[in-house]
Amino acid sequence: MRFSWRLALAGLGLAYLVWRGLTADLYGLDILMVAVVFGMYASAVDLAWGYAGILLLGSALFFGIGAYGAGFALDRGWEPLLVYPLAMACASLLAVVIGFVGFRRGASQVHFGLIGLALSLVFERIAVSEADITGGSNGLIGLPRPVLAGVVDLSNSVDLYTAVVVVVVVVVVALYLLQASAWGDAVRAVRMDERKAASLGYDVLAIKLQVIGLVAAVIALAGALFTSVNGTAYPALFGIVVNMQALVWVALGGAGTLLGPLLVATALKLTESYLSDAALDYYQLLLGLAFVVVVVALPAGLGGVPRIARKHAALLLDRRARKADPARLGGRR
Amino acid sequence: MQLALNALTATSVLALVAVGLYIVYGLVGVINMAHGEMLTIGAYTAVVLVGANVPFWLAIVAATAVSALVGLALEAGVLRYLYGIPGLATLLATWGVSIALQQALRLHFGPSGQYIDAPLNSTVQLFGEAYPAYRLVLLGIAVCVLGGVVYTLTRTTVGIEIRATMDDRQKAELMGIDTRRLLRGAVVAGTAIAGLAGALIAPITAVTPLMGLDYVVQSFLVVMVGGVETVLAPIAGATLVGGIGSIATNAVGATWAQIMILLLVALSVYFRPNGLVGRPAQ
Repeated sequence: MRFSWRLALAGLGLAYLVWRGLTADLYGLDILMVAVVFGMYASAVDLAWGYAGILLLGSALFFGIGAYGAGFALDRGWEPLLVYPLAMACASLLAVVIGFVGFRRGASQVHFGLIGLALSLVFERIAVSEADITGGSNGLIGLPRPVLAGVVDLSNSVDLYTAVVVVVVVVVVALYLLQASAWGDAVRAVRMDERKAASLGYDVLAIKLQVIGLVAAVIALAGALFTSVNGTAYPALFGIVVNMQALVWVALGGAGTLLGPLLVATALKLTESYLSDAALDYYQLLLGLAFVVVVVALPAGLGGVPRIARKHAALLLDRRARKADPARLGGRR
Repeated sequence: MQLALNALTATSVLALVAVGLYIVYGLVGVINMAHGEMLTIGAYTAVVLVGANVPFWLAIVAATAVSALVGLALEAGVLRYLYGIPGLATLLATWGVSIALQQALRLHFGPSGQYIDAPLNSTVQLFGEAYPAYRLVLLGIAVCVLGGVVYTLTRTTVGIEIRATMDDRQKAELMGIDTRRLLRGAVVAGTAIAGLAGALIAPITAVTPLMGLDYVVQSFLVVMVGGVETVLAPIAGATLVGGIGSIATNAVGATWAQIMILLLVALSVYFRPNGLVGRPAQ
């Protein structure tokens, strides 16, 4: 079998998770759990953006729905095994409704993204203003950890860590298998050329709605896991920073790789949690700038750097060779 | 009556912000997410200058100029490289600029709101009610500027060139129109107007690093509702989003007004994807 960077990276990441699971203190485990949950979130956004070409500007909408859904369940002692899937279904349904409006013929991609973004900001406001239900600007705080079906108690960080890592790995592997399936090919066909895909008999609208329905569910699951770990759900989870950082992760990790955004998101979230509040302000400033540079100069993300470097090196060598030998007209590009 | 005047003010300010966004979007299909920060920069310029005892009306002129300069830098530094790139990359890159500017402003001025006094404290008796004079002046300036924009777009050579480029950039270039220069001019003019709007609303609102965000999102809704086919589109869109929004806010509160507007926008996009005043969908 050919050596695969992706497989090696995935193996290394998994080994790191197991090693930390065995050795890290409880605080370290909590931080790592949140980081991998955001990693799953990034993978889901990548499935929409990198594979289907759908830009989720308002992905925090679904994250917040999952988080508040889990928050209500934990606050009132409802069964997580029922409420979490319900929250995922709600997010899915909402995504499909937005998609139905946004993907209509004649409406552009941008419409879908912006409706989602505007909605996520409205939800943030609702979360603040309907304080009786949502806890207002503080949100729901001090929530207990989930107990599944009244038997499986996940209040211990080590147990919860195991559960979260298993869920994340299963979901990401499932996303990977999905994109490698015939359905994944159809999704890519839609991104490359909607008209050609339609003429081959694919129902373009249906495929797009399936993608965002699935992605919204995964993001809502990430939100639910976040709240399960942190014990909080607050309005900013619907906010612009969450919307933005998901796209930064995908852009940096390389759209259309699933693994890249996962690794970048996990690594950045880990770094972030060890930074002080003052440093965080500069950190966000840097993230914004990094975003511009990546989009303009590195469309393939950090993983694309070696290829670009090789290309420039080849061009340089080529130019030198031509200088040395003016008779040579053509040349390798 | 007070309500109607407030709605008119909201509409005209939003139209000022949206018109710059609309022209750039119409010209090259680039949605400039950093447009909202131009308004923020204009507002902060006014705050700083008024704090340094510069007369308000001079501060407004300066704010317009500062925003225009930032707009020029934005065009030359970022936007220029994005015109050829298809798809959504442009939206993302300008969003990055927007976040970076927000953070920079927050680091310098702090997250909390800043206030300045209105230059006119008197009220005017209008239809038997007292109305703040400053808001009337604001309304007057906004209407004049919008009138100027519409006049430029419809009655001058530059306006014809801009509209030709909006219709078909390649053909416009074949006719000898320097679209690059036109674009730079359009971006600078649009950001200058946004900066002016920011400075104008500084006395009647809290100036915060995030204030542009609300306006930029609403401006997108305006462009979505209005479409890009006629010059009146941003004004029509602003009437719906800003005017009706302002009335609804008064009636049912800000949150539900937002939801209502989003529903209206969704319906409008669904039934008339080319814009309310554009061609109906085939």
